[in-house]
Amino acid sequence: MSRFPFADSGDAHAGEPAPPRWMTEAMRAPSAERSDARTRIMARVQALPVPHRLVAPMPMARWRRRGTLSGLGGVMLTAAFALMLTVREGERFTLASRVHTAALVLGDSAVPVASHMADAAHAPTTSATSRIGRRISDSLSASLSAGLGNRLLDTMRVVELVVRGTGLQDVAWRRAGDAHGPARTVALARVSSTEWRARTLVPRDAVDVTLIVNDVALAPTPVTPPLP
Amino acid sequence: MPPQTSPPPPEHEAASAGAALSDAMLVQQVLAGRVEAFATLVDRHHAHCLRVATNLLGNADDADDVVQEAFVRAYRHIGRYSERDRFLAWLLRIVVNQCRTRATREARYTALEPHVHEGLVVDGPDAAHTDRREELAVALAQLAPEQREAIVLRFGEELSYDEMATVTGAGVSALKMRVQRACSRLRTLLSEHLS
Repeated sequence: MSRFPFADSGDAHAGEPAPPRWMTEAMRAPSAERSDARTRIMARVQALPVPHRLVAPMPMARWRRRGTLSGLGGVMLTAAFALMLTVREGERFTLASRVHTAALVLGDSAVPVASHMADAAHAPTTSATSRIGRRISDSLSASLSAGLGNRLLDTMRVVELVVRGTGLQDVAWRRAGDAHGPARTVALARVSSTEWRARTLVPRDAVDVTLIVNDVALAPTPVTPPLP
Repeated sequence: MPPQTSPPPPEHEAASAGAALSDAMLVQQVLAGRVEAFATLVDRHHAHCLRVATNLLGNADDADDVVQEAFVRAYRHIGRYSERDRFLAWLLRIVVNQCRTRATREARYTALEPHVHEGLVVDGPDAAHTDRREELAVALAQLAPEQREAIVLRFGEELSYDEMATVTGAGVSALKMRVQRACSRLRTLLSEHLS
């Protein structure tokens, strides 16, 4: 065997330098084991408690990133949602069982055109654009006044809300499907011991209205047109 | 009357029964409370670990102590072993860490004596073999500790660079550089020695 350093290495990997073969063989030669090595190791091991698999806890940042909850957190959140839903829907169902509603169209609302147009026509203006607008407004007013007899239909209908039930305190309404729209409170007129009525203006295109009785929104009530 | 032979210890029976199982399955058995399965792991990897420790420390007694301590630590923390890793690589990491700790404590990692490898080779009745061991010890003692680790793991244990990275905790690029520098240093040392 050559003793020249690195001349006869059999372990070179694609240009990688390697120590000489004799050195590699010496490194790979088995070392002398003590006969009782295994016994000593097992004696120490058997004196230790049984190990258990460890699962590293997930860091909080990772929890938030993955959007996961612990088991208890999930149960508590679900219970809170269920409680809120039960309370909210329970009130609605209880009220709906003892209150009946209707929305009857009485007719169209109308506003006098002449006074509106006159006010707009006599407003002080200075610019050329305003003067052109005033001429258009005057001509429109004249043509509509001639056709409708000084009355102009607007986009509202007069609707009578009928509420039958007990324990009513306040009633408001809003367009159905517009949960975030403004609720308009109406003044109830007592007709009998269990019936209240109120008149209000409802947009012409409103098919349903949602009545809010005692701060609880009921199911949508259809706006019933008058019988022909 | 035939001579009575004493029955083998229970862990020996378990070790022979579990010899066909993979390391990961043996680890699962250990975690399930079968301590005897650990004996099979000891039988399977003790010689390997002892060879690495001997090459790194250059002292048979220290190497034996370190390997024993490494196995005990491995048993204690075997719950952290991930089956995605090779068990031997995971175990060698413990051995290498123990060797570092021992070397730091006793300052023998860099002050290796030439004669300490006497009697370490199993089948070394020939003087040539012993001489080579001593020359190896002298040469390795001249290397920096991290270079010694790199060259022992790369050429003594034939680990890939990825496995070496797992064992040592160093990056692959750094390990390649260490191997290159260790070989260069050994070349210089042996040239001076032969001349």
